[in-house]
Amino acid sequence: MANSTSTTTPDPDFVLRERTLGQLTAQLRCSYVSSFARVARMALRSLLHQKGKLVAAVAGVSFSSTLALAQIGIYVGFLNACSGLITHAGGDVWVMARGTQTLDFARPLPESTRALVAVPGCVRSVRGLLTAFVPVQRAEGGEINAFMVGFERSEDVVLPWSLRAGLPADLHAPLRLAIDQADTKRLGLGSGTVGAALRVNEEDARVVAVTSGIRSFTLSPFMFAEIENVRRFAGVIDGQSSFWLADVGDAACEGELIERVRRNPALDALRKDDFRAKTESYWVNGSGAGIALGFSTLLSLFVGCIIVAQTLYTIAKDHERELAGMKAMGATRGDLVAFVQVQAAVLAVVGLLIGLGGAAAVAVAAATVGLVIVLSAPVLLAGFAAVFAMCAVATIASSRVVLRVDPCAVFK
Amino acid sequence: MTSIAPFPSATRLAPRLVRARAVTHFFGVGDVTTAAVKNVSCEVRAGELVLLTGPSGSGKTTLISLLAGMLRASAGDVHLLGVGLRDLRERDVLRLRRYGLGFVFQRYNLFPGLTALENVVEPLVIKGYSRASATERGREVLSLLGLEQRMANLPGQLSGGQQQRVAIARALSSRPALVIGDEVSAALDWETTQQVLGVLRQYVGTDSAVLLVTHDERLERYADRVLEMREGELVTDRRSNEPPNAAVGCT
Repeated sequence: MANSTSTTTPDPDFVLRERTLGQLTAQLRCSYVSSFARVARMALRSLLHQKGKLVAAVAGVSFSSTLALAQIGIYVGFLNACSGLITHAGGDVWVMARGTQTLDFARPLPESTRALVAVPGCVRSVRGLLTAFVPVQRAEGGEINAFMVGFERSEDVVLPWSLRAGLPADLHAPLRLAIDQADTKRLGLGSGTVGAALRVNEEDARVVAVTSGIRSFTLSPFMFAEIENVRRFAGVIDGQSSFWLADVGDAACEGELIERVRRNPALDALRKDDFRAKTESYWVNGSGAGIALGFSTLLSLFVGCIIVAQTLYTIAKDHERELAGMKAMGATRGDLVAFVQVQAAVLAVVGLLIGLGGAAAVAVAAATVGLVIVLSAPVLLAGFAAVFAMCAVATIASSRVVLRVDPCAVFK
Repeated sequence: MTSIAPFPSATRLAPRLVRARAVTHFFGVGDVTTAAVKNVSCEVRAGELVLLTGPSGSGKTTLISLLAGMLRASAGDVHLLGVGLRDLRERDVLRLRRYGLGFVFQRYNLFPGLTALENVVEPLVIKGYSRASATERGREVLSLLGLEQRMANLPGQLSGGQQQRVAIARALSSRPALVIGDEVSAALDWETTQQVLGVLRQYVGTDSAVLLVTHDERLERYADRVLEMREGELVTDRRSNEPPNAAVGCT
């Protein structure tokens, strides 16, 4: 090879090399814009050419997407059922009996503890929230335990949320309550739910409002009433409450309040988000539902991954000779991998769109049996990310095939 | 046929488009090695159509793989378009192949899902041509090869000869300095072979050359020189109009 330090009479071979490569580099630079864009049409047409494999792969990704989206939607539905009340009830700091693990099981606190929470100059307001399981006599006989939420009126927070019939103001009278529409059958109520009478723990109550989509993780019917009514239904002493919800001015005050409450060995205080996470963790991890849903989601993604990987692999193998030709003609490794990636991306997008329709259909069907599948924007985003990740993983085997293509094979 | 002429720039720099000096290449696993090419020296100059012949297993495939930079020689030097390949980075070898060489394969290697035109255009797009200019160039070359009515056909809808002409169009469309063909006539009848060789012969000019690997002795009438290999050695390097036993300059 030429010696570049030879300044007087440079090796002609070196000069040729530098000049030739210089020209070629200039041409190559503009061609390195994007392997993805350059091979897109070739990859797409090759995918469309093998219709049988294309249909199988799209079906696989669609099925997998439907399952993944539905599972994630169910999971989020469970989380909402666990902690939806905490989200909607507001309050910056929640004060409760020490040892309370979840919203659903909390001992009532004496009225005297309310004053402990109401720190002047720090806490703007304190509201009571009473939760209790209360027996309800069904119209056609038998009893069912309802999860009853008693709340104090507030100008800042509207409870119950998601009202389908009636108004919050309708609850401002003795022995009135709101039920969820999903529970009407279980409570033995007919079509005229608003105005219906219910026997709650030997008290005659009247349904004045109906909510929609408010479920409890325990599957007990969810009922809302003003706190005095719930004390009466549940036999709780006047002034007691399961939680004191403190609306605090600033973050420093939150810490100060929590510290102050925790000095009392019978009490605990948590920020709203912390208590929500604790409640979700109690139900999702404690019941095994989180693990079961997570496992089935992974399983559906795994099945989809295998189907997509198999399709991409066979397409890559089928085109091995042509790809070897491309490599011989100067296609880069990036070009060859992009050939597989374009196909995977197309399968992911088409499969996701079909899968989204499938998940929506499943959600509608599930709602008829009381199962909530949440297909919110974050759920869709998580599902899309999971399916794209699945398709990316599925390209590994076929990428190895195209990277191992021997250009010399074209001469054999 | 000036419109399918090669780029003049690269070949003006290196009239000896490819040159091998004392090239040897071993294949093997562990201690067991076999010399597929033994101490071969040869060259292909601009303006030549050269045939590389020899029986199966004589080392032809290995030699053209070495000359095209797909294999690195175990010993000796290969210069492609004036550039020594021995210490060249793989990326630079790729550049030389991409812009300096055109290939015509025995089995055509056309993408079955692409039309004849797309099989010519897409490799040009990969080489950095804009889609518009690649399409224009693809139409031009296919028309020159008599395939203007077949541009929208898939390879499966074309005869063997037509597929081979598409493959030739793909090879010539980027105006490479050197075209390497592997048994281009193996699947063709003699009439089609004559058409194909006629096109390749026309492509040879002051800036370009064609190197064909073949078993077909009838192709000699189109060649300027014939290289013959036996058992890994170059045993003949002669002008095509000279008798086969008149070896010239072989090493």
